[in-house]
Amino acid sequence: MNLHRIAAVIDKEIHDALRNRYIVMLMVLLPIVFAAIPILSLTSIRQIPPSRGSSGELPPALARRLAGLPPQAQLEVFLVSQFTLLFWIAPLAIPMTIAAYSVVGEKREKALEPLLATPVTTGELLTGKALAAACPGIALSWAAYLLVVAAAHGIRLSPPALETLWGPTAWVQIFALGPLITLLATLTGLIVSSRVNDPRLAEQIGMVVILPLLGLILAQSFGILWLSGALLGVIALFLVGVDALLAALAVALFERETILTRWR
Amino acid sequence: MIRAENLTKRYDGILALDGLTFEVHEGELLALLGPNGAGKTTTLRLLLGLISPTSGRIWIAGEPMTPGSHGLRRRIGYLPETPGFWERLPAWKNLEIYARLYGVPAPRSRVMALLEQFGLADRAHDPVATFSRGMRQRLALARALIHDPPILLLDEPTAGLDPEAALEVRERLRALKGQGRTILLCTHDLEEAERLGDRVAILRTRLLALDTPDRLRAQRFGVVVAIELDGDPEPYLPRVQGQPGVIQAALRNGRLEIQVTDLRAVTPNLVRSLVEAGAPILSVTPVKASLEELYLQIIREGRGPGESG
Ligand SMILES: Nc1ncnc2c1ncn2[C@@H]1O[C@H](COP(=O)(O)OP(=O)(O)O)[C@@H](O)[C@H]1O
Ligand SMILES: [Mg+2]
Repeated sequence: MNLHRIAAVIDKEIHDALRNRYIVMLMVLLPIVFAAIPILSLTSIRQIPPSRGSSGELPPALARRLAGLPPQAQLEVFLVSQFTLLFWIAPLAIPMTIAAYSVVGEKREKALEPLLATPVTTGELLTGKALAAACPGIALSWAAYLLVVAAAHGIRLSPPALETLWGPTAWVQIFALGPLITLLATLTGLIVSSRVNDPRLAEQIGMVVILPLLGLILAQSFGILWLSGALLGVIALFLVGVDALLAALAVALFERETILTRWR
Repeated sequence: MIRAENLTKRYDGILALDGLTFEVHEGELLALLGPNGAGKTTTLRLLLGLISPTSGRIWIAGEPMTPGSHGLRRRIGYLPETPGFWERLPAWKNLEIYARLYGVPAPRSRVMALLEQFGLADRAHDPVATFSRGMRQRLALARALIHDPPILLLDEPTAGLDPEAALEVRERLRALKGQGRTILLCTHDLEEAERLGDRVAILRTRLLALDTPDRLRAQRFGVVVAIELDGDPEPYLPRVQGQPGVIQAALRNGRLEIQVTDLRAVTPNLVRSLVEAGAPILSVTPVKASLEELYLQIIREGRGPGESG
């Protein structure tokens, strides 16, 4: 692995992505949306009279954990933990789009042949593409998260809710699980992208990754499951394994000869 | 510098290249001439290790070339059949990325110098999508040279260009040849092959011929003498055909065109015999067969049974 070559690939991908209007639009809109949803909902529940916020509606596991807190705080903690889950998904859309276009786009422009004639290895090429695709989305989702944290302080969220939003459990989710899931989606997008000729198909298949995540969010909101610190740790380890496997698979499935000669 | 031994390539059972063996010497320009589908592009891709041969071996600068020989690619500049730029990126950025991939020191200034040299400096910041075909081809040539490689593999660099743009690219190739680079130039343009090639290889799935244009001509056609008469040459044709050392004689352009085994040995006797017969000779000129005739003949002979077109 030569870092200069990886950097050159990243540079190319970022420049290319910034000239894609759709991707730029996503880059502007998504962080705003992902910051706005939590901020607006948290602001609005502050307006609800405290008596209405009833702990009876919370998932039983959470209600037990939060027993003793005022109902308003309970509701806030619940909402905050739901929104933290949102940040697992927040960084996904941009990387998926970039990854899906990156190999297919180059196949269409026939730009892969001269590129593969350089000393760049498949590992370097895919590392560059994966990083270039994943990093902007991750950075933007972190920016959105920090906005939400700032706003939460601004609207004086109850201390237990603030702790949930800005504490180790949230950090694991936002700074570890978010990037790991993004990498997973990006690698899936790259693999599909190197095997098909339609970027939308690559994007859609990559998006399938999101379904289990939505499942987790729903499971938690219906109280079927509570994402404790230990469970999050297990999920993170699992994701590290899956990502490593996918990275190896991506390199193995990127058959230079097939890509050059059989994509027409 | 470049050596291919018994290269064979099949695509899903389709034989694209059959037992190709050749060598390009250091500092030489070898023109690889062949019709569409002859296997020229396949040969270049094999030499670069972009695809692997069904059988056979390749050496570049003495080292075996395989799909894993990433470092060896630094010795080679490649101009693909379709240039394949990142269309949305500006020209300079396209080249700069390549400069960095090849590990060129001070990539930015190298890029700007090349763009200047190739007359593209004023368009350096425009996306390649806005470039004409001729400009793209110049840019592709600049890209192939970005790391100053000793070996150049060029796939039909003038195909599809208007005559002026083609001429310009040809001039640049001539200049490159003067710099001592080893060049393999694929083309289906006979004139280009003859004007630029030190040697010409004629390919049609198999290698049909490989030599200097002059020697190929001599081997194929012997030598041709044209004799111009004052008046109709036709009556003298049978007499000429009967002479020793004459392979074949025909009327062409109002002259007798006579293929002989050896210019020096045959011509004086031929002229004497015609003078004896009372032929009013105006001129006797040795002519070179056009490379086109040569090429067509070789290609026709090389066509396998059952092929047509
Ligand atoms: N990707 C491919 N799949 C199947 N056959 C191919 C492929 N590329 C080339 N061929 C076949 O191999 C032969 C040689 O092609 P090519 O090397 O492109 O010739 P040239 O460059 O001289 O026109 C042709 O018969 C062509 O149809
Ligand atoms: Mg070709």
